[in-house]
Amino acid sequence: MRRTPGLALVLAAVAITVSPWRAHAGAQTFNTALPVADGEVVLREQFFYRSAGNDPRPASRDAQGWGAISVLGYGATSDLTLFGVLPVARKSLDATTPGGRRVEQDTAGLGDARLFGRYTIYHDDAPGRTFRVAPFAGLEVPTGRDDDRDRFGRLPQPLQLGSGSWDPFAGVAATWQTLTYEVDGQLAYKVNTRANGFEFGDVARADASVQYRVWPRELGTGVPGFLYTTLGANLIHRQENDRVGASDPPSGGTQVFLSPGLQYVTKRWVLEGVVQVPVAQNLNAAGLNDDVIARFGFRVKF
Amino acid sequence: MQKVTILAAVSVLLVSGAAWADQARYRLDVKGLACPFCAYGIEEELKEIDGVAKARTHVERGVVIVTMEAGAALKRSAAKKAVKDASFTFGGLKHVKAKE
Repeated sequence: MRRTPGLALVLAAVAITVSPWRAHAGAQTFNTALPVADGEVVLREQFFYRSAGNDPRPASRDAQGWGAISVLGYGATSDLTLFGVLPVARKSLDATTPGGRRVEQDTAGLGDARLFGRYTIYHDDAPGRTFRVAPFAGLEVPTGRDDDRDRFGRLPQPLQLGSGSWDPFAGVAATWQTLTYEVDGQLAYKVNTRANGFEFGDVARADASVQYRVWPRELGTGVPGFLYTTLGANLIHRQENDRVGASDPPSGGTQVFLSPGLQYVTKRWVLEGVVQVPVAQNLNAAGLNDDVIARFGFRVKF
Repeated sequence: MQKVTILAAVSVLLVSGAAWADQARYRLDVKGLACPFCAYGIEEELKEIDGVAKARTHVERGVVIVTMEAGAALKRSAAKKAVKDASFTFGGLKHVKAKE
């Protein structure tokens, strides 16, 4: 089939307004300051589904993404934990062109990996409770494909699995934990750099989560499994993307999610699930609002 | 033949009982232990110590009961290091006689 460059440019203009779908590692949705023992290994697998649609504009865009995020944590010392994060995802975008055609673009494979370290700078321990503060810093590395193509040409950058750029990030996590409840908080900032003539806007976020043990009501001997209900909140602000030599519709903006979930915790493994519901979205001009993000998975210690 | 079998069984029981009697048991207080997922690390650190046969956490009380192999003893410094390596705070070590 002969390529139609004009159509490709139209699709790019439509797709550029979709928020970049990056894997965000976290408590269930962000990092905690909970300890990882010296020499201990924690494997976490999180499966996710994300949907964005209800577009009132003529393009009537529908975007979906699903996949898995693998996280490996290693206790290099009792205070320093090293993490590696690798997402695998499928992303798709359906849109109606100005000519009235409904087209779909999609891609699947590895995304950009994240490598970071987290260091406990303060902890206050007492029988049955702990308070910890742990800054973290790392780099998102371009392991994902950033030059994927279909019959219309190169996929627009927000639809690519990888950014092609090396992006540093840093933040701080704090955790207050007792035998009955846990409160976590995180502030983080990611600097997105340029690649392929394109630069995603920087991302700033503030997250908080509360967990409450609903079962067992009374603790006995040993280490029983704990069932928690969880409620989180995520505030994410993205600056506008920037493309060299082109004027794109305004992108970026701010989103707030409420994230109710459940978590079952034993001595060696955890089962968990959370649904992130957008309660406020103020995306610039042609941004596509999220409908819902669902995550479920497990953690295991070695 | 039956008498020999009975004598052998009694001997085994006596020897086993003696071995149990030689297994020192300690109560280790661990500050900061507040969830099941955290217990795994402290138990694994303790099991790395020579002579430790078993380590059992009681998360509500914030203690780990450490059972030693026959004839072995747990040094306070080793217990402190294990707690620190597990990223918790040492709260005390006590030799206990009764089974907990």
